[in-house]
Amino acid sequence: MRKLLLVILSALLCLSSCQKRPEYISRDIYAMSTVISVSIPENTKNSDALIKKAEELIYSLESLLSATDKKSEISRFNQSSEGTKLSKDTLKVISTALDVAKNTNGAYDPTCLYLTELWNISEGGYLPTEDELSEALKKTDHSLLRIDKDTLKKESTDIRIDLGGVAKGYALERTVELLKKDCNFGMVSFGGNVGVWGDKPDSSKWEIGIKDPFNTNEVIGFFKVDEGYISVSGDYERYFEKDGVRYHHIFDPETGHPVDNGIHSVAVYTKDGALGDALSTALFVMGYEDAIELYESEIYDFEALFVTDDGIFMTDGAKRLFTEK
Amino acid sequence: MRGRFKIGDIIVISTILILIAALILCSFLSAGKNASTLVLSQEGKKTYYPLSEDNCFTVRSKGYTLEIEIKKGSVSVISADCPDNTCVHTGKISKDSQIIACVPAGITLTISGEEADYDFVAG
Repeated sequence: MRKLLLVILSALLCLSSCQKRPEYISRDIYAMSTVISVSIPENTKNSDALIKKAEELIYSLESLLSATDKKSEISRFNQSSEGTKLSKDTLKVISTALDVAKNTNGAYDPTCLYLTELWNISEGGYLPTEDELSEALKKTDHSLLRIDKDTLKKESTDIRIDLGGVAKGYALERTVELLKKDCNFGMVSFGGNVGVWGDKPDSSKWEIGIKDPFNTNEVIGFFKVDEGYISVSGDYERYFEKDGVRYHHIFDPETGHPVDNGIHSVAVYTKDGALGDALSTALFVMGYEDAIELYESEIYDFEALFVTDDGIFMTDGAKRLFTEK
Repeated sequence: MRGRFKIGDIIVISTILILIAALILCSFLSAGKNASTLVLSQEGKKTYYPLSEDNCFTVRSKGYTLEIEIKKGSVSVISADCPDNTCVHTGKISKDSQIIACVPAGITLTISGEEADYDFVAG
């Protein structure tokens, strides 16, 4: 009898000790073609000034890395015939981009600006002809780029870069690093990418839900992590439809067409924001089997989850971190 | 002695009853406090809509028009003339911190109130 009562008492004590999620000061920032959400503890000293600093950092990175801002470093490079000197930040992003491009055999390719502009998904979409695609593909080749000290050189005048698949991850990491100095814990999201750090007041792990690509109001489960970055690439939000066919924004640099390999979403967990961002695109393009080969090669330290037509698949480490709903 | 309560049992039973009463009271109070709300942010201004009432309204911003629907506790942008329509493609949201953003129109729709069972959602 007493044992039973003690069990009931323990269960109730557990329930009553379950704390609510922490309270935050949150701010939305529009930049890098997405909405950035910054959440820091509500008791943070000088929170307004700190968020302002984060905002300025994001805008300054956007002014370097944007391919649509005609005055950005990337645009200057794209307009040049042989290449240009670049800032440390831009070189760092390009270095990650080229490394992932090389190690994924171009599944992620930062020289895909012609393809992005041709499909024009951000302006409602355009269905290109095969000739147009083949022209764009002739100018898509990351192997024609080379970093020489503080200069990015190109071997063909036609090469233009678009850091859309890596810049948000880099800016996310820089923002988290900035906020970390003054906030014990917090989270920042850049569209599909989320960064978390620190110990929450209840000492529980961070629970990051992964959107269900087939029902975006629901999550398929949660990653439980101490810190780090989760980047998601999916085919379910940025797309257009023509004659009943859906054309999404993740292109295969080999065919020029939106990837059609049965994958609908890839979530990557890393400790490196830029790498996670580039990898989520690369793994989406590579398909599950090649992605697992890259994982097993241990070139990069990451975990990944794939939502496909045939179900949910995960890397070994992701199985330990992810709880399916 | 079988079936008779000892002083220790009485203490444990009393504690259980007090905890049950406290939990019921807490959940009752928080249910009223956490009623879900749609927060519409536009050019730094926030407007609040209860999710408990079905509603359909039009928002104009930066030259774009969005039709927003609140139905059975969920929010969606049912039509928009923005160029990429990502806000429409996002679908329905109903849980705390979920967000629909229309970057061209500079509008975000966020759910606030009822606690979600995660810290944030990626994707």
